[in-house]
Amino acid sequence: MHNQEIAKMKKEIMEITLIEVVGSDLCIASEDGQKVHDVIKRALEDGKNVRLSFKGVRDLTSAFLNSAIGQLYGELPEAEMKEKLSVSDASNEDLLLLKRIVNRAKEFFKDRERFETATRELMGDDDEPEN
Amino acid sequence: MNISIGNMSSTFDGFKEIIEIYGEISCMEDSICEIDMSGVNWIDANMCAPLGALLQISNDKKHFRKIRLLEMKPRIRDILQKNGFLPNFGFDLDKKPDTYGTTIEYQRFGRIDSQSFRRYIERHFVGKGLPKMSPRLAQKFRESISEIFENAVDHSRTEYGIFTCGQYFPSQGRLDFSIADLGIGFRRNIFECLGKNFKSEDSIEWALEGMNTTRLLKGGKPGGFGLKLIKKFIELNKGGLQIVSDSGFWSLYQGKIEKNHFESSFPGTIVNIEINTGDKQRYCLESELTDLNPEDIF
Repeated sequence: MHNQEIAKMKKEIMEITLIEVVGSDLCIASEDGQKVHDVIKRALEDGKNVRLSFKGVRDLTSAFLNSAIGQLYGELPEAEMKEKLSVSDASNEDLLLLKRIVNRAKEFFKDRERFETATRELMGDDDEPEN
Repeated sequence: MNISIGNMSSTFDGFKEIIEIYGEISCMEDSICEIDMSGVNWIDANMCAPLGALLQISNDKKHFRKIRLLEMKPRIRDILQKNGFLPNFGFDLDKKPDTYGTTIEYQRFGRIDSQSFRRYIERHFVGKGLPKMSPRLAQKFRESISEIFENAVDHSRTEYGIFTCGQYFPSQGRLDFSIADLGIGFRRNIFECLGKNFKSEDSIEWALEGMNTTRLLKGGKPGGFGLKLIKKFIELNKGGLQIVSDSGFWSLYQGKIEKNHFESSFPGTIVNIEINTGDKQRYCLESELTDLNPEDIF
């Protein structure tokens, strides 16, 4: 086995259970997602690998996942996210929503400036609303 | 001052009625406001959400010191008592029991009340025999309305709270649920974040399309996905989605999109979701599910 792979295997994996961080099985609010984000980010900054457990999650929204995970793509390199993050105990539908959020976040942060410019150009002039 | 009002369905004309009521009340100052309801033969109970929102803001702004509802037909009174709307506004009428289990009561939530909102949804959609949704549809529906709530919290920046009400119409096979806020609306949100002045109805359309969002420029978090998920869900469900924001109206009904413009404005945003309760289909394509690999998410 390659040395790098051995080193990766030995790295500590921290399991973060969403419902424990949120304190409920309803993972719906953006601000609860922020709590999860802060825990994940701290762990990654401490050099840990993170396994996100969706065990017991009843409801899940895009608002929650954008806060918890989407914004990490604006803060950490995509390669680091891919290497250090994993997911467990997620239903197919949870995985589908998570995958959509991740893809969208990657697109946003890949070329933020280009996105902003394109958006402004698409929208033309910029008069102030009357009301 | 006396205001006459008419029927209120979850349609362009129904929302126009709401906006016109607000237009008249907002011209008042510390008045006794009398609303003549003799012309109201029908009210979609979910319309109590925007009605409650406008009465709340009018009360807070002291447009009236007292409000009276006159000539209300017994059938209309029944609806507004059952869903708790009248008792909530101090009309000195008790809440009536929801005999048929078709009411989703009128409520006002604070910005941080996501969990209470979810419990409210649970309370009104589970164990009451309404509506006859498959478990999968019920789950999707709950998540969709949580998305609308979070969207209102994130985008409106409202301090007045979020107003909700719904009604199940068994004979029509539909369930309508409305969420209203008194926030800045789509148009101003887009202008403040992106510097662009759209017509109100175009700003709603913009927010529902493709990659568009104001979130990236506001807080560094990607977003703008909630409403798009709901739109997709409604398209599959063959239900309806109506959005009113400022003077704009956008509607998706059984696959058809309609935009329109009111002469005056609603002081915030109303989202109405209409579920086709007879729908039995699955809500993920098999191809989407089978393509997913947990090892290949990030």
